[in-house]
Parts: sequence; structure tokens; C-alpha cells
Amino acid sequence: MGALRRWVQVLSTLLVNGSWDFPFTRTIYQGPLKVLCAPGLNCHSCPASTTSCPIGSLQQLLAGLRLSLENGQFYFGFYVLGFMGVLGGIMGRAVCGWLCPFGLIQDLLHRIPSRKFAVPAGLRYLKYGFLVFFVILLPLLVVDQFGSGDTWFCKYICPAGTLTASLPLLIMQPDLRQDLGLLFLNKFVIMVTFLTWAVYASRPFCRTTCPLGAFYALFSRVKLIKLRLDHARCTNCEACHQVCPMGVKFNQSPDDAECITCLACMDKACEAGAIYLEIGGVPVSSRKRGPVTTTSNLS
Amino acid sequence: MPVKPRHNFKPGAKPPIRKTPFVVILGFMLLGIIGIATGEPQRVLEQTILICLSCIGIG
Repeated sequence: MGALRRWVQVLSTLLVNGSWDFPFTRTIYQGPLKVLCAPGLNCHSCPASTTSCPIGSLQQLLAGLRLSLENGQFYFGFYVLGFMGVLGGIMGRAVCGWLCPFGLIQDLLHRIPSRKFAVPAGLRYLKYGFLVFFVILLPLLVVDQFGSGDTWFCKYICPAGTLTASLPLLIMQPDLRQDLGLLFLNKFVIMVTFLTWAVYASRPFCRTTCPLGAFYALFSRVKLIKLRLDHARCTNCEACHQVCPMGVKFNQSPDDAECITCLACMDKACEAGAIYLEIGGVPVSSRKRGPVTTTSNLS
Repeated sequence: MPVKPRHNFKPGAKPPIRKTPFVVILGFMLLGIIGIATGEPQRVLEQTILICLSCIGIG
């Protein structure tokens, strides 16, 4: 299952970054596919990107809301929110585990042999702050004299944008290098920090900072496709704790907002067959071992 | 220690279909349709085909 997930991650990354003529055009893709949002964090200023970043698009719409209202246009971000909500309702954070290009980058970095460390559990709540303040409130409320806001998360934080948009554009368009300043230095340091951290800890950006992950996490209890725990079969051996890339203790919190449905606990860890996948209440994966349970024990 | 049943349906019966995900998906689908009706996709396209240099930390 791990190999399948890796292939899906690679395929998804290639699909949302399918414009490979940028070494010749030296700019970004400007075709109609950009009307669609990428499911994961994928900067639309990346030269290869064929889709728009939902977090970037949402901030741009909210930052321009006052101006659009003055012009009689009602761009509240419903289109982007609707797209994100439908995906969240179906998959929740499985998007992070299976479809997000920046998740793939972090997964690959974590494979570099080194001593591994845990991410402090309290830092998981930071990402909700980034979602509320940097993606929604600040772009909406902090405006210039013309009523236009800023894309705060993209501008000051997003390491995916620095890695996949800023750096390639700086390489392709040398003239841009004269405009570099503290803003870029700040973003470059953040990017290097997260990429280095990803070698030593699993998915630190997803767990502490990603506002898109925070949004999808809101669907952890109500998403259509989710992992479930059969309490009758669970032996509380805690093997699921050891394999989870997100630090989830699945037998203690099966609806944990951090779960990216990578299926490692079900596939690699649970010898009792207590973890299974279900869609809308219907179990779809076979349980490997353990005694037959009654359905009244499913949670 | 016996495990406490968490659902009301009878042992041996099929687990019920969860309706909440469908309600949530439908709700957001409706939101998306409202967004499309107000012309947001066109605005998204206009914004994303241009490089906003300050948005990526340049300038």
C-alpha cells in the first residue's frame, strides 16, 4: 500500500505540474486549466503548475474583496471554499497523504537516513492560527489606501511557494534577482528550516503550519472515506503508534484530525486486523486476522 | 473488560450508511455553485495566470 501511495503522490504531482515547456517560455503556464484548484498545496506561480493553489486563490479573492464589492462583484471565495470543502468532505486529510506535492517532498526528505525526532504535539494547533489569521483575517482586514489586502501566508510564510515558484523564477529570470530583499530572505530561511526539519521529523510543515491541512482537518469526523477502529479486535499493543508519520495514536483517537489516511497503521502495523477502511459507513477493506466481531463494536 | 457498544444498531446487522458526509459534501457543492454563478472562476483564472512577485517573496 505504501508503494501505491507513493505512485499516487507522484502522479498527482505530475498532473498539477504538467507544463514542462517553461525552460523555453521562461514564464508560468497561462492556460485555462488554472481555473481549477489543485487539491494540495501547489503554488500557481510555479512555472510547471497547471492549476491554481486553493490557499493562494482564496487569499487573493479575500484580499481583493473590498475592491470587488465596490465594483458590484461578489467574490467571497465561495468557489474555492466549495472546491476545498467537497474534497475535505470526501477525503479529509487523505489529500495531504495522497495528493499533496509538498507532502511528497517532505516524505522523500524524511527517507534520508538520519536520527529521527518527534514534532512537539502542541505545535499542531499553530496551523489553525495560520488558517484563521494569515489566510482569512489579515488579507481581509489589513488593506492599503486603495482597499486592497495582501496574501499574507504566501508572502511571508509559504515554503512551497519559495521552493517551487521563487527559486525557479529567479533562475530563469536573472533580472528579478535585483529585487531581492528581506522579504525573500525571510521566506528562504523558513523554507530551509522546514526542508531541513523534514529530514529529521516526519512532515513538520503539514503538522505545524499548513493552513490547507488545517482546513481539511476540520473534516476528520465527517469525511466520507476514513479509517475505523474495531475496538473488539484492538489489543492495545500500540503498534499503530510506531508507524504513523503524523504521530497519531490511532487506538486512542481514531478520528484524530492529524490522520492523513496513509493506511500505514492498517497495512504495516495492526496484526489484530482492528483497523479498517470504510466509505460512508461501509467497510471496504478486509480485516486480516483476529476474532470475528459484532458490528455493534465498530466505532 | 467487555467493550461498550457505541452504536444502537443490532449485532449482526449491517452498519448504517453515514449521512453526514453527504450533507457536508452537498453543502460545499452548493457553495461552489454559488461561487461559479458569481463569476469567481474567471477571477481566479485572471489572478493565477499572472505572477504576483510580492506574493512569492520577490520585490
